[in-house]
Amino acid sequence: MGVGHHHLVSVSLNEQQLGTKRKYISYIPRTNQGKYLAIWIISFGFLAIYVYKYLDAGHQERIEEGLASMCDQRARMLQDQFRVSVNHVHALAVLVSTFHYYKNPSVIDQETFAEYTARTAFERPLLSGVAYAQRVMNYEREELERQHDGTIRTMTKEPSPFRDEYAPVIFAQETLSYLKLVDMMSGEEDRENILRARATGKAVLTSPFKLLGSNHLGVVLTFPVYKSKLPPNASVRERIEATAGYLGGAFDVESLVENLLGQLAENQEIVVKVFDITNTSNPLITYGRNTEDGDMSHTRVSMLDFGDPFRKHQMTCRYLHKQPISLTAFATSTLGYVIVILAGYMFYTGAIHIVQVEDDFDTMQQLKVRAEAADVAKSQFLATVSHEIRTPMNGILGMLALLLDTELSSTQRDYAQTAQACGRALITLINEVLDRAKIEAGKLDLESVPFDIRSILDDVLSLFSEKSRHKGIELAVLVSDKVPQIVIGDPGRFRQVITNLVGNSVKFTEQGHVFVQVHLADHCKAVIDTNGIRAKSTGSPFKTLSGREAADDRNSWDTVKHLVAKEEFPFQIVTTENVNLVVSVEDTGIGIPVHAQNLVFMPFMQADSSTSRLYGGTGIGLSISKCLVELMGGKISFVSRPQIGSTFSFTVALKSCKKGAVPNLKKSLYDDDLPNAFHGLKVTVVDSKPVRGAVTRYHLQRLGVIVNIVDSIKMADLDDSKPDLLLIEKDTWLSSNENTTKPQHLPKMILLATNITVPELDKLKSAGFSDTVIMKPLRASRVAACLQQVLGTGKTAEQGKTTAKGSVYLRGLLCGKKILVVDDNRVNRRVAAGALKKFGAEVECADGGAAALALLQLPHAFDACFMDIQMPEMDGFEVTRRVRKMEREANVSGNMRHLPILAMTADVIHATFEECRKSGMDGYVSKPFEEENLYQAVAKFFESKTAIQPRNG
Amino acid sequence: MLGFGAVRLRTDMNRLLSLLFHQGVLDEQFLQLQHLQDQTSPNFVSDVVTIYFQESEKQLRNLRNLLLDREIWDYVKLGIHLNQLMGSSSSIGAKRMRNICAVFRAAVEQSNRPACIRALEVLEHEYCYLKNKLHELFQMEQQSVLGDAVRYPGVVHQL
Repeated sequence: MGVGHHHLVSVSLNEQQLGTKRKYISYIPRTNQGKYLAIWIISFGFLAIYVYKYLDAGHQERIEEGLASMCDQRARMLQDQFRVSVNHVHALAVLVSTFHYYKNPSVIDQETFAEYTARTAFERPLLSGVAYAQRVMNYEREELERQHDGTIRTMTKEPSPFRDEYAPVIFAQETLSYLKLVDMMSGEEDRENILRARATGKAVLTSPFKLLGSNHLGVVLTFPVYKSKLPPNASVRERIEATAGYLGGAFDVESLVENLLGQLAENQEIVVKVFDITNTSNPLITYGRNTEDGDMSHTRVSMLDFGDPFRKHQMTCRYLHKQPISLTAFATSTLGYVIVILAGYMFYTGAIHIVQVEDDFDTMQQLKVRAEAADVAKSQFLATVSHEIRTPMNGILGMLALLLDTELSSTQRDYAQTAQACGRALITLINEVLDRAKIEAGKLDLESVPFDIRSILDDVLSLFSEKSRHKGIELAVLVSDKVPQIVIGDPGRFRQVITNLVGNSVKFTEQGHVFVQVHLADHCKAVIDTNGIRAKSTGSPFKTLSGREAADDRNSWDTVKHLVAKEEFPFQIVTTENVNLVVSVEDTGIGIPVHAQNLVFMPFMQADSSTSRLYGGTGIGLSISKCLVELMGGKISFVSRPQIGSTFSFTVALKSCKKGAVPNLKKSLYDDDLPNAFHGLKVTVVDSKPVRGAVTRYHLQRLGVIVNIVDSIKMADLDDSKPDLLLIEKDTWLSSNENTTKPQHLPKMILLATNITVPELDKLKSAGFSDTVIMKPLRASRVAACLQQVLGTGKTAEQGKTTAKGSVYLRGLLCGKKILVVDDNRVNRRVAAGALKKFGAEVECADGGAAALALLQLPHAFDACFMDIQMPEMDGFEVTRRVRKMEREANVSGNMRHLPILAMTADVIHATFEECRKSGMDGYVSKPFEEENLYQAVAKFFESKTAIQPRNG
Repeated sequence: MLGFGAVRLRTDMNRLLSLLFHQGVLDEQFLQLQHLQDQTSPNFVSDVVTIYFQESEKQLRNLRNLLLDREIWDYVKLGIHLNQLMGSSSSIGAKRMRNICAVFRAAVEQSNRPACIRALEVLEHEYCYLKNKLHELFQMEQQSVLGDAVRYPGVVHQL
């Protein structure tokens, strides 16, 4: 059942802890990080493009502006140049009309014209030449042909057919002399030009065409020349009538533009085209190649005005090469994008990593919870199993005890005894495991009761005295007199730790000593600090208890003498609430191998597998000690040197207690009040080893004896303090025995010895020591007994030695007490009553809550009440509550009453205990009654009462 | 001769006891009970056990009646009786009785009537066994007490 219960607990714990989900909030998407990354990259891609566009727009604008300015500049220059030429042709026309028609006779002939035009040709760089064609009607043809001595020809150099009207060239610049008498009206373009020119009276241009002389494109400029001055608003008819001839010139547009552009820098950067867009649907190219070349992305169109309102021209400019893209914009956006991508990738990997780490963390946490649960379960399991094993083991031991009571042959008895010893060992082990498991499961509660540390140490010493004496090792205890008499703590656990350490030391020590010291931690520290680091004592007789070298030489006399010195400790520690003690257990045993020193406090680890073979034991003791020491708020440590010894020391935090303030002192089972018959007795201790002397003095001082230590008998002889007794250490006595016989004037002598061999005993007998030998280890009570014997003071008062048994002690506690047992179960009632009666109590029984209440009506004579919890009708809790209520009501009116009520329960789980407390009970006893259990429960509140009254042990 | 008889009686008693322990019929609580017996209450164990038998018989009767009553399934009462029986059994250290009670109680909690009836039968059987064995033991004890009474006042070394 027990197992099932624990198991349930651990399982529910598990579920509870595993059930809780992550407690933290995760800001990281747990899935689809790839998609988020893609979205990130794409969106920032768009952003980068937008940024690029934005930055590039300015750049493009600048390019555009550059192109526009260049194009406009070219257009303007071209236009200006053209205008200049046109104006000049105009001037020529005026010249011709002035000197050819208005003067009669004409002052211009071919030579004059040719020379003049040739000399003024620099004014018309754009014109390859100028010529003048006269308007000739058909009837005038013959006269003209006569005058000029030739026939009018067509453009194709053939004699012209008859027409209404002709326009033969009569004057021509030298460059155009081939045009002499060529009828300009025979060419389609020229004819149109002539007709338009005379109708408008302005300069007109042809559409571009291939010029006769060169292969270049060109346009022909035609100017009308009138016979008479015309009014500004002359009609077309008037103009035609007045027309005398036409002045014309050919513009070689291509070379013109070529020259013009050649003058400009950056010429090669742009492609320039000039179009005649008179017919908008079919623009005629005037300059430039017809193929589309250059950078098509930027085009600038500038309008050209060559002075002919009928013809429209435009200039188109393009960059020859594609303009370089804006590096800044590109670099900015690209770099930005790259950075963003990298950042995105970082986030991505980061997110993946975080998610992974979180998952790992989760897993770890679950594993941790599981591991902890498993650990708890293990401890619970151990606790349960150990408990379950203990029960049958007790049966086995009981049976073995019964078996040993029967008549057995010696072999059988041997077997049975062996079995019993093994069983006891097993029980001890199980108890230890149980202890450890309890500690691990956190079920161990420390008591906090006042106790006497010295008597505890005496107990421990007495436990091992037989063994140490047998082995011939010296076992000693020294408690600093600065340590308060009574401290508050858990005596049981304190004793357990010391027992364990001393037990180990005794076990592993073959010769030398085991020395337990208790000092105030602060004092000890202060002494060591002031002493500083002393040179290691290397002298052959080490100043330790037995003179053998110890692992930690802090315990040598150099330190101890300061610790036991009488001088007032400078720090006021005793007055404070806390008492920090340092306990050290020093031995001169085999020590712990260096490689195993780390494992010493691990459960089931022994220094060496051979150790367990040689010395037995499980190695769990030290780990329990460590746990206990830590529970008590201290630390345990050790110094060990192989083949020299080990010194374990631990600190423990206890509370101080004003002596007398808390009288219900938990006595040790062995303790008996030390007699105070020796107060003021003067004793001289002769001991060559100061540490040992200090130990002797400690025990004697506890008896109130005034102690003086000398290091040889001679010194004692010289001493004039007249001691009542002389305590001589065996070694010292033996060494000085050769030359000194028993001094006559010396008082009674007592010999202190660890072990005595037979010849030594003879020698002692001859010296008169036979009765007055105190065997070590020393204990105050033992010393007292011995002193009594020697001095003959007091009869051998038994000092209540029989209290060694708990039952006797319990008897003392319960004797004469009137106790009420409440239980509905007759059998239980009878058993409880029987048990209590056995311890001398007067028992009355009640079979239910109601009966109990009736008996407990105030005033009553009961000293205590044992109450079953599970009762029909009214359970123990309820009864207790009612009793407490009655008491409260009574207490209002005067005398304080509090009846101790102890619960009797079959299940001793903690919760039940809590409920007991809540309903006003004072404690509980597990059912069925066990002596130890009963003792513990009863002792708690009866001791205080008995301590006040004189005890009759 | 009488002394020899006494020794044999005690040996037999011990053997019986160890048998009971071995079988798990009794546990160390019984020894505790024996410890409580001394000069002031010489018949303590047998007194207690007698009360136990009286009480147990009553409980068993009640249990049987409750179980055989087919109409009502009063598990509260069953539980009370079982607890009583269990408590007194563990008080005198009747371990097997207690364990069977525990099983019985589990069956009651599960409302498993057949299991309850089975448990009751086992319990009754166990009760009879315990009663017989303890009677045997007490008889031997009485004889041995008689033997002691004869032996100690007389000459010590008859063997």
